[in-house]
Amino acid sequence: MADWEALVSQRLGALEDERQREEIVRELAGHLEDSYQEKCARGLSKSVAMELALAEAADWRELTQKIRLAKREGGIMNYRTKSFWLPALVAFTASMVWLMILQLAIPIRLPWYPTDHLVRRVGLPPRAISNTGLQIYFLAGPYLLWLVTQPAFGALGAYLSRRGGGERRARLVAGVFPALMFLCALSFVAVIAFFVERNPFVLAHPAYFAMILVPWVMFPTAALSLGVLPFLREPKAQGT
Amino acid sequence: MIGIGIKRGTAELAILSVLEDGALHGYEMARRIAEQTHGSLRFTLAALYPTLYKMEQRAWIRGAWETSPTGRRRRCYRLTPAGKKKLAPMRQEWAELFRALHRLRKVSHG
Repeated sequence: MADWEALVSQRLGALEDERQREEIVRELAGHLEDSYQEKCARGLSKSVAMELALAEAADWRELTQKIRLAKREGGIMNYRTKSFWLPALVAFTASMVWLMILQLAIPIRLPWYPTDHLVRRVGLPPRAISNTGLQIYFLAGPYLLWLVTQPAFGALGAYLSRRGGGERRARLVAGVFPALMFLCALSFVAVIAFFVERNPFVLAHPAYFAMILVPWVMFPTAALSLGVLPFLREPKAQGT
Repeated sequence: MIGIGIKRGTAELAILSVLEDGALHGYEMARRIAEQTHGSLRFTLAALYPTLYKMEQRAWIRGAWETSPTGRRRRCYRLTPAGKKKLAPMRQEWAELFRALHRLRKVSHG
């Protein structure tokens, strides 16, 4: 039994990526083995079948060159970059810039914003509402506006992923990526607060900390998913 | 048998068309193309794989290693949404070309 991988490896020239070359060798060897077996099944002698199978690539130097060029065509952006990382980062950046714009447009200086100034701005009688209540009142505006617009960012990520050839899972994850980044950031802060800093407030009120996940991870995930949904359908191939 | 120049141009359409029915590995793809075209289009290893890799870089198809029921590991290719989208205009272009060639033949015979 011929060692097809060794045969191909001896003939195929060097490629830029050694791991990629190993995969290509394995794949081409599989093809030649199939070709050889089919020829044997047709009644050809083993030596003739082998000769004919190897003749499928008469010029290995040319084949190496063609493979090198084909692999280079994608340039610096490979499949995963185009179908996942780029769409995900675009969605995340757009969502964060939009949040920043909202925060700048609606000036809030929490939690140091002077309550009486807030009271003057909205015309509420002093002490009509607690400091915390006012802070929540003023935070709710930009937050809600940001939240209701999240489907657009989910749709953006999923659309770009679909355009880059992304599978359903890639489109979904690219769309909800902004919420995933919040989850990562909060998880990182939690680890620091609990295990490194041993923050007394966080240690005393772990539930408060966990509740942050609701407005910044769970609600955005749901909103982003709404935008992703239309892009989970496979585009129909319109054949002639 | 179709000459190498024309065959090169049809390779992408042929590959996208056979993958429309489901994932296939390279050898099976070449076998089906030959079978469905009654042997007019035959792709050797040297012609097939550079095209497959190029199409993979363009994100029209995606390859992944799969284990067959016999236990053999093969790299199977499937159409991506971008590939599916590419298929329809490509077919239209080829159909247009055939119509143009047909008209040309009529004119020269007329």
